[in-house]
Formats: sequence, structure tokens, C-alpha cells
Amino acid sequence: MYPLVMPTYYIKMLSLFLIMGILALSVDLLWGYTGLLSFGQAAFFGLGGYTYAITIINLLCKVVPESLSHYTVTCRPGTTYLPVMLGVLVPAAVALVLGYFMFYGRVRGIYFSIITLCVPLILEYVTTNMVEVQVGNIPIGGYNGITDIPIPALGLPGAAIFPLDTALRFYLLVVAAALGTYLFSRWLVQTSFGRVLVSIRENEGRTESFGYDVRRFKLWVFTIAGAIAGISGLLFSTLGSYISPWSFNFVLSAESVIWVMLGGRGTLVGAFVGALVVQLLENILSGAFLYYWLLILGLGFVAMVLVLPEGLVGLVREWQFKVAGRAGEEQIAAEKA
Amino acid sequence: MSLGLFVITILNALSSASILILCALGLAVIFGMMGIINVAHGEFIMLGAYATFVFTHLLSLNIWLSMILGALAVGVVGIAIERAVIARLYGRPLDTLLVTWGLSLALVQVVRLIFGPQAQFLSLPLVSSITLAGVTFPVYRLVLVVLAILVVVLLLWLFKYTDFGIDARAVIEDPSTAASMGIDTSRMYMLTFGIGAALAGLAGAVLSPLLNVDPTMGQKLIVRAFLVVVVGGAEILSGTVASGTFLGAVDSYVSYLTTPYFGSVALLAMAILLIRFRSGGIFARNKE
Repeated sequence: MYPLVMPTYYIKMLSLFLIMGILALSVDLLWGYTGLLSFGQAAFFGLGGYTYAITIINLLCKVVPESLSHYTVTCRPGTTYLPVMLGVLVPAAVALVLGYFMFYGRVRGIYFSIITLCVPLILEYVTTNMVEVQVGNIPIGGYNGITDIPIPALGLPGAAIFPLDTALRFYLLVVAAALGTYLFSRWLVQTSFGRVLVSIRENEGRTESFGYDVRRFKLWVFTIAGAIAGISGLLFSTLGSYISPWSFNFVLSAESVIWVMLGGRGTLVGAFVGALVVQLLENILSGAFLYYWLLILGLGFVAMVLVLPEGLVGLVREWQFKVAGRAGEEQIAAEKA
Repeated sequence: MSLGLFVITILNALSSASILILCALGLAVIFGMMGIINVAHGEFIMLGAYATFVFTHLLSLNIWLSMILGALAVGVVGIAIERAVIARLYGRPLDTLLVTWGLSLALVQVVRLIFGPQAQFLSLPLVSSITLAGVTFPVYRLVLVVLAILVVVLLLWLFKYTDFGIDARAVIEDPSTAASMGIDTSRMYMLTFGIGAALAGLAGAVLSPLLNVDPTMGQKLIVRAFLVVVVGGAEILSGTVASGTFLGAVDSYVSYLTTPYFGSVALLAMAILLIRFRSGGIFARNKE
């Protein structure tokens, strides 16, 4: 496998790309399959990251204040199952509550998108302002966030502990998470639950008239997507040992939508493709065209929408269609459903 | 509460509201007419500010003239963008959203490349303050309140009493019938987008002495403008004015009580509540 021979820097970069791919996956599940365009998955991303950080530091570390806003954090080794679980459950719980608030109030379409846009903003403002507020033994740290987050470790508590202390081992964890969430989503969309989601996307009114309580389905997919975004967030906080209000930033939410759009919505795999390709491009372009790359990116998006509305994976599917003829047509129709 | 404190609270709320309304009107016109959210709206505001800067500092024009020219310049840019890009995406609101996002990115970078990332400084055209009931308040901010009212009245007149306005409302109400009546809907969209852009440019122009004029200034304003428009709902003028006033008042009052950060949080929370409980806008009929 490639990463075995790459220097640490590249492994970390690849891990980051995959982590963002998981975030994009949550967007695709909501948007590509259920037709719910959420601009706020960053909210659950950040919540996952912060929950993980707060839990693990409370569990394993001692925090000693040095001077104002300066702390030394010393951590003993230990397994990290609880922080990971909370890092997934807390965002999921918040998604459940927020989803209930929205879907059972018949908020839909653009109003849903706007509310999801506001939530991470509120979280960003609130965390930026909470400099000295402490959760357990660690302060939230305001704009600077929480640093020195220990790395995850597997094993048996108290007995054998396997810290994932090399970039490669962490990368493998990320790959496992990416594969896991992807396979789970793939499975989910081809169950009857998943089919109802697609039906909601296509025509919500008609789905309701068949007797399905669309609110419940939307609520569940929103919760699951929140959990997935939370996984992405907690992995992110361990990658850099650092979480800050930036993780709630609107740009992150917007980019996650762009990745799905570019990769091809409703394909699941497109989420990862889009995330990987765009981040890679951003890296290459910012290196090569230091001052112009954002301009190229912006214009690139414009061109993308005008030329490739179905995204990259959509392009591949069209090619499949043209080459394979009728047999391909059936396969694509089966895949799309 | 003393009279002075009361007066200044009201004035602050009005000032906050007028700024929000000025920023949101352009977006509301475009959203109401074409049903699209122009994510580059913040950048149109920014362009208005920079245009004013260019006209004042580089061409040494009177600042008021610069502001008007700035607004018009952005209007022209808006028309150009509409013809080049938006017109190809009629009936695809989501794609329009994404395209305007790409444009917003590009515009920020273009301005940054030309002018640099630092903030430009424009001096206030009116530095005096007036004293009411023992408290002082900057005249310029009062001017903005008056201006907001003027712009709303102007738009009201435009939409109610001009042929263009009547045609525009017909297109908003029912585009296909309007088209079959002989109204050129494509031209209507182009002009409306131009007007919306010019309104944004005007907001940027008049706000330029008050705010930090840097390439990213639009990004801080766009979210609030969005919220005002969405909470305002389908009624372009009355909705925007009502939601702008309400949200502006909430923000300014909570900011006064706590910090500006929590003022913003209050605005966001209030917007969420209003969207949830008044889906369709402040003046929507309660359907359930």
C-alpha cells in the first residue's frame, strides 16, 4: 500500500483528506439521498471534536494552569473508547433534538438549509466567547481552542494498551473509519429505510400520501448524518491534537457541500472523491499559484456548475452509459435508485 | 431607565436595523423576484465600498457622489454577471447558489489581488454628533436611518407606481402568465438582478466609512442579510423591513446587555425561532 512508503507529512495529509471525506459523506446522505441540503454539518463535526477533546482530557489528563490562558496538560496513557463513543453520541443527540425541532415543525426546503446554516454559527460565536469556561478540568479556550489532545489508543483498559502513535497507525484508523461509515451508508441506502429516503427526495408529498411518516425518516437520517459528522470531527481533533471554533466555520460547511457537488451527489463514493480531489487541488494550486489559487478555485466552481452539474462521478456514469449501451443503462438505473 | 438611556437604546436599535435593512434589501429583491439566493451579495456590498474608496481617494470626487457612482457601478457589474452566468441557470436555484458561491470566492480574491488584504480607510463624511435628551449620537448613523427609510419608500414607489414595477410584480407572481402577456421575463430578471446589486453596492458605499473596508467584509455581512431575507419571507419590502427592524433591535439590545458576540447569538437564535414558528416569513398566514 502506498502509505507504507510515504513520509509522515503526506500520510497526515491523506488522513485529513479522508476525514473530510467522512464529513462529506454525511452531507451526501442528507442531500444526495434525502434531498435535505444541510449547510451545518460542521456543527456536528465541531461538536464531535470538542466532546472527544473534553472527555479524553478529563479522563486521562491533569491540567495545571500556568498563567492566564496558559495550561500544561500532562496525560497518562489509557484507552480511548469512552471519548470516542461520546464524540459520536453527543453530536447525534444534538442532531436528534435539532431535527425534532425542525422536522416536527414542518421546516423544509430552504428554511431547513438556513437553520442548519445558523447552528454552527451560533456554536462558533459561543465557543469563541467562552475562554475561561471549564468543562470538567479543561477550559474551552475561546478562539484558541483546546490543544494537546492525546492520541487515541486501543486495547484493553488497564491491561494492554496500543496507542496509535505513529502517523501510519492513525491513518489506518482513519481508513477503517472511512470504510466503516461508507459501508454502513451503502447498506443503509439499499434497505427499505433508504428507499423511503429517496422517495422523500423525489416527492415528499407523495411519500406521505403512501402513509409514511416522513418526519420520522428525516429525523433518523439527520441523526445518523450528525453521528457521522461527529466521527469525522473527533478524528480531526486527534489528527492535529487540536480543536478550535474554526471547526464550526461556515466555510467548512460550504466546502463539504462543494465536495459532494463536485464528486456527484447521491453516489456516496462521490463524497470521498470530491473531498479528495478538491483538497488535493487546493494543496497543489496553493503551492504553485500562491496568490491566484483561490481565484482559480472560485472560477473553477463556476465552470463546474455550468459544465458538470452531475459532478465527477456523474461524468463517469455518463461515460458508462455511452459505452455500455442498454445494459449499462439498466445498471445505472439500478444504481441510482 | 433614564430618558437618555431610553433614547440611546432606541437610536442604537434603529441604527442597527437600518444597516441590516440596507444590506438585505438587494438580496430580498433578487430572492423575491428570481427565487435565488445570491451568495455573492456580500461581495457586491464589498465592491460598493471599494468603488467608493476608488472614486474618493483615487479620483478625488466628493464622497456623496462617489457613493452614488459606487452603487451604480456595482449595478452594472451585477447586470454583467447576470447575463454571463445566472441567465444560464434559470430554474436551477441550487446550482445558482453554488455558482454564486464560486463567484463570491473569485471576487474576494480579485479585490485582494488588486488592493491587497489590508483594510482601506475612508473618513466619515459627517463627524458631528447631535445631542438628544442628554445623550450624544453620531449624525452619520442618523443619516443612515433616514437613508434606509428613503430607499424603502423609493422601492415602494418603483414597485407600485411605475410600469416597470407593475411588470416586475407580475413576473414575481406568475412568470409564465406574465410572459404570455408579453412581458420580457429575461430582461426583467436582468434588470432586477442589476437593481439588487446596485442596492448592495449602495449599502457597501454608505457603510464604508463605518466598517473595515477589506476584501472579506462581505463575508461577515452576508449571513445576517440572508437571515433578514429568509425571516422576512415572501413580502419583499414589508417583510425585509419588519424582520430587519426586529432582528436589528434584538441584536442591539442584547449586545448592550451583554457583549456583541451574544448579540449576534441572540439574532441567530431569534431568526431560527422565527423560521421555525413562522415558516413563510413574518407575514405568512399560519397554515397549520
